[in-house]
Order: sequence, then structure tokens, then C-alpha cells
Amino acid sequence: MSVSRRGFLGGAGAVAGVVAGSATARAGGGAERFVGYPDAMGLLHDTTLCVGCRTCELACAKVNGKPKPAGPLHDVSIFNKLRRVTDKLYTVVNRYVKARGKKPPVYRKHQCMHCQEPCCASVCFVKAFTKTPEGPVLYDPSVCVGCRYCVNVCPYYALGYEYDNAINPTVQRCTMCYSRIKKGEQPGCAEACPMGAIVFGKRKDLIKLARQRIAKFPDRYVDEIFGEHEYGGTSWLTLAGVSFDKLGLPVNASHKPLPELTAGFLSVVPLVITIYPGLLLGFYAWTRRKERLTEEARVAAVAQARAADGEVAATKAAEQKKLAESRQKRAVDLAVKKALADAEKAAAAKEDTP
Amino acid sequence: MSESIAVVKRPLITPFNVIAGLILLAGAGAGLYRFAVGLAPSTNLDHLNPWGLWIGFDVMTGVALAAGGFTISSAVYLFGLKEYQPLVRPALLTGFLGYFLVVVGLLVDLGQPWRLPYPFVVQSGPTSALFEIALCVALYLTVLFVEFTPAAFEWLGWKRWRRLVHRLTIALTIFGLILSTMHQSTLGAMYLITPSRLHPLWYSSHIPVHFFVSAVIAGLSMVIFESALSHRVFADQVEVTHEKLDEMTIGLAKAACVALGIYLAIKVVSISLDNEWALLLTPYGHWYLFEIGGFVVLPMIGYAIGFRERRTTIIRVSAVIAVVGIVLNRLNVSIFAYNWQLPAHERYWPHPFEIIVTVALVTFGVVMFKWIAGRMPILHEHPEYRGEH
Amino acid sequence: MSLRMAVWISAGLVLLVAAQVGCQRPAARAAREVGPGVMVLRMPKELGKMRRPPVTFDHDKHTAQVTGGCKTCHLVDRAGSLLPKFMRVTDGQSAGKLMDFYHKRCVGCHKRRGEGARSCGQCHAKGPRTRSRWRGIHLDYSLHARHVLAQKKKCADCHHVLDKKLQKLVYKKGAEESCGVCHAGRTVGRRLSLRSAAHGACISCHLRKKGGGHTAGPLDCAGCHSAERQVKIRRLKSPPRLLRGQKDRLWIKAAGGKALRVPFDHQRHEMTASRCSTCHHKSLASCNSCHDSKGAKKGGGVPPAQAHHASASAQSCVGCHRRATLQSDCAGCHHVIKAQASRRSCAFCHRGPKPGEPLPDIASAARIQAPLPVFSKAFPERVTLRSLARDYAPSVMPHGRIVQKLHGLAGKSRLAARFHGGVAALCAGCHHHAKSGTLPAPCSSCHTRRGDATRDRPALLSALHRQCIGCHQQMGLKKWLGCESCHKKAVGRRAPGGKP
Repeated sequence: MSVSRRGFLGGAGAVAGVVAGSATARAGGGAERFVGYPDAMGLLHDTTLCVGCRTCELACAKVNGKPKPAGPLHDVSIFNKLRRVTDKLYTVVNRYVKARGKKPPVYRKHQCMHCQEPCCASVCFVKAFTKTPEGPVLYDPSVCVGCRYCVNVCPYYALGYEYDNAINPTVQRCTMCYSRIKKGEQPGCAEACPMGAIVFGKRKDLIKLARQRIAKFPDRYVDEIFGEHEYGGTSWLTLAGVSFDKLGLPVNASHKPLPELTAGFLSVVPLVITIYPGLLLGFYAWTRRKERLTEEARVAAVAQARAADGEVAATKAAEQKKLAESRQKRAVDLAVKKALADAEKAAAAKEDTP
Repeated sequence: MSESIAVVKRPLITPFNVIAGLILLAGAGAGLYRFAVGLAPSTNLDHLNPWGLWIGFDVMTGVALAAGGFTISSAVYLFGLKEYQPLVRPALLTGFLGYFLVVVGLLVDLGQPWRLPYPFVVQSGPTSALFEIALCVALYLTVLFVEFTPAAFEWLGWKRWRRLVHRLTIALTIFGLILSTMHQSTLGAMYLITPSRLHPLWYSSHIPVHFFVSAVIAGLSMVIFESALSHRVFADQVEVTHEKLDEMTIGLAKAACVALGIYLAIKVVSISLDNEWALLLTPYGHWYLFEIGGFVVLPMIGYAIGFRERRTTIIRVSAVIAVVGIVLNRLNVSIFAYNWQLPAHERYWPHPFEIIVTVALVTFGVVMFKWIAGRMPILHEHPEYRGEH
Repeated sequence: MSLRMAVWISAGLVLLVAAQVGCQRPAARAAREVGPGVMVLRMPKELGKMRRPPVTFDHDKHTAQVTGGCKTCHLVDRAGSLLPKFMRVTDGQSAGKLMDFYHKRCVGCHKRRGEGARSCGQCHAKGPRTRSRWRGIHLDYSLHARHVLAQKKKCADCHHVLDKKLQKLVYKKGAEESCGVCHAGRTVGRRLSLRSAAHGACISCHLRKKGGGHTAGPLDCAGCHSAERQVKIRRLKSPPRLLRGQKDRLWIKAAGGKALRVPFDHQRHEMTASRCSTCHHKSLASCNSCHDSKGAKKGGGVPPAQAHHASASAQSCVGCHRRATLQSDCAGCHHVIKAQASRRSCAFCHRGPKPGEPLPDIASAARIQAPLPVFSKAFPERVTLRSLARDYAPSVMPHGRIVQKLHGLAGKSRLAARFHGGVAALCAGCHHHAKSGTLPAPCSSCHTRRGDATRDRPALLSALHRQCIGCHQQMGLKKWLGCESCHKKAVGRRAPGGKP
């Protein structure tokens, strides 16, 4: 089979260019570090102050036009089961540690953490998520295809999807009240919390504030601000008096942002596109060469066999000829001898008669 | 129309057709229901488990099982193993139908499937592994379709088209291998970003390599299995003799055995690098050992014995076990070992409608294969093009 | 051919499994609780390592089973005390001989009785992790007094010192100390560890008493060392004061210190603790005898200022006072006050003359000064908080009742009364920047509606709620019954949140 080399190279090159151009990886080879936008806002949640009143859930529902959260707010039986963030409940307060003797129960409010390096933004193949300089991670429902890769990878289980919407299902999650922030207001939950367990401000200021609180009351807090570094850091910072794994947060989480794991792999993809064609063509050429050499050797062997046959035939013919010649010669000799003998006999007989 | 092989008039009402027809009807019904009412009533997907059977089986397993196309065509055309030529077309057809069903399954699962072209025409997110998969699968489906067309052209008698496409074989094979390497490994790479949700025994920074090697295993095993099945079902039209088929099966078994050995070695290395030996003693660890022991080591031994002893029955049984093992591995990564830390009442189990749609898609693939292979020169050579491959 | 291959592959698998088993880390399992009498018997380090796991030995189980009493297993010294080691005085020099010693006797007895462990693995078992319920016991005033009565005030029966010249244990009056002052750490030569000394002395005495037909203390481990039995120990209501020549009241100063002297009522402070060693944590000497200004080693390098003022310590003045504020009666206000003592409270203790000046009469100086001030009629009885009222009706705070309650609580404790001498101190829990003699500023003068994140100053809404709810929580008052338990919903409701 023949293939036009020009045609193949041209076609392959064009496709490779398209694919390579679109599968871009992180620049810089990892030598630089993105520490976040300098004036990004954040929220500090002090779980030692949270009393589980769920006013934040109510405020969030009001601001986002969602149905009111379940049950009368003072009914604590709702805390008997761990509730999750859903498409209708952007934020949820759970009781993670029951009251022990004089110690009050420990509650924590959970919602999208607005990570510094969000997994959802990294995995969306239509780039529906953006990390804004103001801090929140925003979602654009107008391009969302509904693959739910983002919902699947969020390490905090913070995304909900409208499974019951057949026409235009979208991802639903806390938006950090972006429109309110732009107007200079606070997110609904921060404003509504009666205990001030949620403080809204610049992320870097909140970290300083959290450290001050830990220094002031070292017995009250675990000496760690959750969200400062975990998986690259989050905009939502948490302080607690018990270890964070009791509050449903991952402990010993790597400080490396999770999207870097995918980026590392995707940077190999252009190498496949650049190396494989040459490599495989090489294999193909090698295979062809092997076939060609085998074919040539076969032809040569046939010819040689044929030639060998020819020699043998010629030798045989010569032998036959010699044999015939010698036979002929003997026949002639015999005939001559016989003729001579006959002549002698005839001469002798003539002499005998007068 | 093909002249030399007389098309036997087969009756329409056969047990196979009736059962397949019922399944397809049920699948169509379930699919319509899904589009009418949305995903909530027709699936068990929720905010913690957004990917269920349709992604776990139809997409992830389907792509792996359709890997026979690139493995056999590369072996024959690029590495010169001409003796497997008769297996190329059936493998490519299986591949094409497999990828086609992957796309159909994906369309059923997506929230807004009509927006599927968005990443290419509206806005693209190239940092996403899924973007690369979408691109590669779209291109590869095209490649497979084009690689399938010579059989159709032969059947239709379009000689010029057939010649034209035939000239592209090498280019298409190389392109197919490139694309397959990328998207088979990237299917695994999709889970690189989930170390907190995927069980550490199945998670590794080398997941892409695991997935690619297991795709090769799946491809080879599927070809062994499918060729044996076709040889029996289409006995009236196959031109390959039993002995030739056995020879090819034994050769494939050798390759698959080596691939399984490499896979096992990679798995052991991954566990060793992450120092996860202690995890093998947990319940999930036992499940993992079951997957590796019963579905990687066992078929590897089966293949080894099979090609050594030249016993094709063992090879075919091992092929089935290997295929089930790959299915199990994909389901483990996407469903069973995913979200492993969640309590039992928050885990996922497929809804009956999800199962019906999945079974219907597989049945559709089988039906299409039967229809095409029964008419087009897939399992036999077209007399006019004999030897021209 | 295929069999061989199968054998090789199986061997490889076995190797893999073996490697995996060998490399296992034992999974962390919950520890099993064991009683106080369970101990672990190990070969002494000097003699070498054991080849099998150490033996978990339930002492109380054996005490209950053995018929001959303690002397079945423990030798008695010349003074009549039980020796702590099992049937011997020393360990000897050979590990093998010690092992045989134990085996012969333990297993021998088990064999004779026909019960108990006989094979190696039954004693030398690598069991699950255990957590012992053992609790230490102290001779507090009550228990000490009971022993004093039982021994008819013969202090020499228990207290002794070593006369270095005579190398004998003699009783020295006025030098009685806690056992742990000398018997500390491990046994060194003839000085026994506290464990050996205490068990030897206490149990021997109990045994003797029991033998003599008197009531005596327990003979089993759990009797002293389990929480359940400790609670059952009879307590004397008011044990007599332990006199060892201490002054009732004295002036505290540090050698070379410049601060004003502190009048210290030792007699009153004795009543705040359950035993002397609560404060005299090393010996009954005064603090300054070990904590000198040079940071001497015997004081642990802790200078006198630290010794008296370290707020985290349980022995320092400030530390003990701070711990007192953690009770629920006090925690309502005190949990928001930071751990370090404030400068203002120095004067409460340092009320004496400067060093070098003549010392006034201690009795009058140590007396508590003016009692808590009667609250003025100007203090409002009720305060209506209406500035934030929107979704809820204005909240009416029973100010008078709160002040009265705090006054009562502070008055109950002499410590509180001392430190809350001024109005400002008592009210500072809520009016935290109020100057004495002035009307406290309204909360909103500092706590704006928005709050100040950079100063960690909560918004007015948060400040009010944190104050009230925080105090209630810490003091264990009024259960949370929803927002309406403090303020009813406003008429014409509007949900919280939204524009200020």
C-alpha cells in the first residue's frame, strides 16, 4: 500500500497543531507560586462562637431566593443527622461534637470554600468557573454542559446540581454573595450572624486576626487556621477548639493545590503528539524495511536456485554429448573394423578360385 | 451488493431478536423518561455521587473495552504482524460501535447534552482533563468511522472511495494510536485531582499509566473473546479456519499475558511507592486483592498456561475474566472505591432505569455488530479486494 | 512444563503475600481498658531484652485467689515491711536465672493449683493495646488525719529522715515531709522509689492492722488506685489543721526583690487546697528557699517572679487564682478575659511596704479590705436594647437581677471578693472599658453596626449576642430555646439579613 508522504505529514501536522494549541499546560514549570490576589476578600468562621442558631442559613436562602431551611430554627433535633450542601441549601450548619458536661456542643457552618486554586475551575472543560480577584469563585451557567465533573471532584463536597430540572439544570453553590460584595456590602451570612462567628474582610487581614485570637486565648483554639494552606488555601478560614477532622474537614491535607496534579499530567500530552508520529513512523518504516529485505532475500534465493539448476542442466548436456560422441565413435570404429575384415575376407576368397 | 456470499434470508422473529428488541424498547423508554423529567427521578445520582453507572460503565468501561481497535490495527500495520490481519476489521468495528455507544451514553448522562459542542465552539477550558478526552474521543470516533468505511464501500461497490480511504490506512492507524494513548490514559488522569475522595489503593499519581495498560489488556482480551464468539455465530461466512483462529488466539494470549504482567508490576510499584501495604489488610484492601488476584493474576496465569500448552479454551476463559476485571477496575475507581469515606447511606447504587439504559446500549451495540457483520465484509474478505489489505 | 510454571508463579505470589504481611503496620485499634491492678512484667533493662513479649499480670486477681496472703509471694524485711519484688530482694545478675526463677514459681504454682497459664504464649501474649484505669492517690488532709488518729498521733510510725552519719532512718520532729520528697523516681541503692516505699510501708501496716483485728486500709491495688473505691473512702468533715510550725499570716518578699511586700494569709490558703503539696509541690520549705533570684537548679531554673506569677502554673499564686476563675460561677465573664494577668490587679496583692521599710501589723493588713460596694440606685433595674430592633422586638435585659447575681457570686468567694473590690472590676465583664465613678459608655460607641475586623471588634449585634449567650453558655444557665426566648418576633416580620 502506498501513502502520499506529503499528504500524511500535512494532515498530521495540522491536527497536531490544533490539539497542541488547545491542550495548554501550566507555564513556568512550577518554579513560581501564586499566592492569591492581594486584595481578595475572605471570611473567618470561628466555630467556638457558633451556637447553631442557623440564622445564616435563613439569610442565605433569602439573599439567593432559595426555599427556607427546614424546621423551626431552634429545633435542635435537626442536628441529629449530618446535613449536606444541596442545590437548594447553599450553606448548612452541622453539629459535629455533642455537648459534654459543661462544654457546649461544637457547630460548624459548611459551604463552598472558595479555594485559592479551585478544583472546580481546573476541571471544567468549558471554563465555567472563574476565581475573581475579589475572592469568590464564580460560576457561569450559560456555558455549563452539565457533565458534573466539578461536583465530583470538590474535596469539600460543596457543590449541588439541579437534578430535578430537565430543561436547564445548573450547578448551585455559595457565591460569597458576589453582587453584594461588589456593592461594598457583606455576604448575607456574615451580616446576619448574631454571634459574629463569621467575619468578612480581606483574607490576609483575617489570617492576622485569627492568629491574634489564637495568641490571646491559646487554651481555646487549636493552633491552626484551617484554610490558610490546605490544598493551596481557601477564602473561607476556620478556627476551632477541637481538631478539624472532628469537624468534617480534611486533616493533613497537602499544601499543594490539587489542580497541579492534573496540570503535571496534561503537560505530557503535547509530548505524545510530538514524539509518537516520528516514533510510530519509525516502527512502520522498520517493519517495511524488514519486509523489503525479506522479499529481496527471497527473490535472490529463487534466482540463485534457478541459476544452480541451469548449471546442472548444462553439465548434463555436455556429458550426454560426450557419451553420444564416444558411442558414435565406437560405432564408427566398429563399422570400419567390420568393413576392413569383410574386405580382407573378400580378397582372400578371390585368391582361392582359379 | 455482495455477490459471492449468498445472503441467507434470515427470519426476523428469532429468540435473539425478540429479546434484544424488548431490551431496546425498554432502554428507549427509560431514555425518553430521563429527558422528559430530568435526572432526579430517573437516576440515583445526588450531590455527593454525581457520576454513576452511566459514566462509570458506559463511558469509562466502554472506552476501555473498545480499545481493541487501536491495538490490533497498530500490531498489524505498524509492527508488521500480518498474521492477525483477519482480526483487524472486526476489532475496528467493535471499536467504532463501542465509542459510538460511549458518546450516546454520555449524551444521556449530561445535564444539557445539546451543549456538548460548547467546549470547541463557545468557550474551552484546556486545563481540564475532560477537555482533552472530549477532543480525543471526538477525533478518534471520526478516525474509527473512516477506518470502518472501506468495508462499507466494498459492500456498496464504491471502488474509488474505497481506494482513497485505503491509502490513508497508515496515517489513520498512527493517528488512532496517538489519540488512544492520550485519551485512555487521560480517563485515568481525570482522577488525579481526587486524592481525598478516591481510596488510596486505587489512587496513584500513575493512574494514567494504569489505565492505558489496562486498556491494552482489555482490547486484546475483547478481541480474543469477540473473535471466538463471531467465529461460532457467523460460522457460515468466516473464512478463517479453526486452526488459524487458534493460532491467532494463542499469539494474542502471549501479548495479553505480558501486558497483564506489566500491569501487575505497575500496581505493585505504586503500592510500594506510596507505602500502602498496611491498607491491604483493611476491608477495602481485601476487595483490592480480590480484584488483582482474581482478575489480573488469574488471567495472567491462564494466558500463560494457555499459550504454553496451546489450549485455546483456557485462553478464552481467561479473556472473559480479564475483561470482567477491567470492568471491575473501572467501576471500582468511579463508584465503589470512590467516596469511600462516606457512610453507607450516602453511597451510590444505580437506579433500575440506569441499568436498563446501560443494558440497552450494550444490546444495541451487539445488534448493530450483528447487522453489519452479517452483510459487510468484516468477517470475510470481499472477493474483489482479496489480498488488498 | 505448565506445572513448573504454575509452581513458579505461585511461589512468586506467596512471596508477595509474605512481603505484604511482613510490612504491615498494625492498624490502630481502640485500647482496651484494664483495671488498676494490671501491670506489665518486664526484664530489667540492665539484664537484657526479652525474647518473648512482656507479661501482663493482674495483681488483684492473684491477691484474691492466693490463700496465704501477701507473704505467699512477698518477702518481709527486718522491719516487717513487705518487699515489693516477687519472692526476692534483688534481681540478680543473670537474665536467664531470673527467668527461671519466675517460671519455676509462677508456673509451678499454677500447676499445683491446676489452674492458670501453663504454656508460654498464655502469659507472654502480645495482646491489644491497653489503657489502665489506675489512678494515683494522695494523702489529703482528711486521709492524713485518719491515719494520724489510727496511729494515735505517733508521727514516727511513718515519717523518717536518713541520718547520714549513723546511716539510719530516724524520726526528726518538725522535719516531717511528704514521702515523695526523698522517695522520688526509681530505686537507687537503698533509697526506694516512691512506689516501692509506699507500697511497702502502707500495705505492710494495713496487713499488720488487719492481722491485729483492727480496721485498716485496703490490701488490693484497686482499693487505693481505682476511682470507684477512692470515692468511697470515708472523709472527715473538718480534719484538724496540720501544724508544722508555719505562720498563720506572713509577709512575702523575694530576696533582693524591689516590689511591695505581699501580706499572705497562710491559714486561709490552707483551706483552699486539699493537701499541702498542692502549693508546696516539692517540699514544705518556703517558695523562696528553692526559687532564688539566681534561678538555681533546685528551683528548676524558675525565678521567684515566675514562681509566684506564672499564669499557666498550678502552684503559682496567679496561676491558682486564674484556675479559680474557670469555674462556671466565674467563667461567664472570665472566659473572654485573656489568660495573662492584667497590670491593674498587681495592687490587690502588693499592698505592703517597700522592701526596707518597717513592717506593719500583719493581722490587720491581711484582712480583706472593704466589702463589695453596694450597688448604687443609679444602676438601672432594666435596660431596653432597641437600637437594633427590626425583626425582633426590643430586648429587655434584667440589668438589676444580673448585677445582683454577680454580686452574690462574688461575695460567696473570698478570692472573688478580694479582687472585685471596686465597682469597675465587677462590672468590667460587660462594661469592659468603664472607669470607676463614671457612667459606662453605651456599647454602640465602640461596637458599630459593621464591626471592625482589623481590631477584632465585633459588630454591635454580635457583641451583644456574644456577651449574653457566651455568658449563659459558660455559666450553664438557661438552655437554648431559640431566639424568641430572649426577644419576641417583631410585628410585621422581615427575615434577618439584607440591608442594614
